[in-house]
Amino acid sequence: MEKEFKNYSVFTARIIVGLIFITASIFKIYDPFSFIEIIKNYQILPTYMINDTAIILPFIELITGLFLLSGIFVKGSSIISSLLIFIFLAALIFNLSRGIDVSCGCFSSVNEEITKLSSFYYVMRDLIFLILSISVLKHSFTKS
Amino acid sequence: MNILKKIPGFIFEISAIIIISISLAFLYNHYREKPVQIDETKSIEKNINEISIEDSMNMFKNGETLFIDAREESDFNKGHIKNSINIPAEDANSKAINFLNRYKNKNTPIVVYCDGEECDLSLKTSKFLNSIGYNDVNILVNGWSLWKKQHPDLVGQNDSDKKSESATPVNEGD
Repeated sequence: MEKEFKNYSVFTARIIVGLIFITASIFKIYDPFSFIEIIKNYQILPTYMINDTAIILPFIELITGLFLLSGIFVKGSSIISSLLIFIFLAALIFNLSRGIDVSCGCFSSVNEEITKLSSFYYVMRDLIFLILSISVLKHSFTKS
Repeated sequence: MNILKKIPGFIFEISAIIIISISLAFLYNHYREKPVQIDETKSIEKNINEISIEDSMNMFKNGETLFIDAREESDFNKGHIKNSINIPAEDANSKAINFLNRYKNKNTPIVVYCDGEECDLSLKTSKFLNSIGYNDVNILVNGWSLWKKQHPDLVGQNDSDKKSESATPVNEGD
């Protein structure tokens, strides 16, 4: 019973993380130019890497999300999803500590108005996503 | 083959995801209507020229050049080069899709200007235009001040002359 509940929870987490990544990729693929501006606002990547990142990263999110949803390559896709969420979270916290208010750019390519409350919301939200992703990752390795 | 068997499965999975993603990403970018320039810095160095007021006048006369005012809309409305359109540097990105739809020819000669020797708005807008694929972008430094001094008969002003990126094509009358 407990095992079934655990399997069901991990399955749900996998679907949620998969859908999150697919949703996150759509606007960025549709409007890469706005995504380029968001990456520039983070002031982390060097200029020569920005355009390439804007082209490639949304597709990594999309493919990772699709594999998570389908249950194929779960180990690899959960490693990538956990890594990406961790990097986004670290970048957000890093910029908050620098006093740079940046639009998260997580799900849209629009520069949203930034408030302290929204920054806190993004950090907490990403933490939850990270926990879900790591639970999928852990289960995929302990299951085999 | 023995070596392949020793590679952990998750390494293979990660590699497969990355390879598929990169391949699809560049393929999609290549065939999209408005591709992102892969190397932004190269195109900026190669394709932005500073021009003189005399050169800008020659380009104005040939009727094929698009003049872009990179200042804020309020400054543009007070006065601008005749037939120019307004793409404020801080807002260029939001106007990209409309602009690309109106000016599909990426070889369209463009002159970007703002006001003041130290003004960098024209450079910002020029870099942006380069990044979305326009190859012939020129900057007229201190453009507005120089133009209205030398060609006061070729200026537009106030809302009735207002041009946006969705307005009439290049060199239609004010």
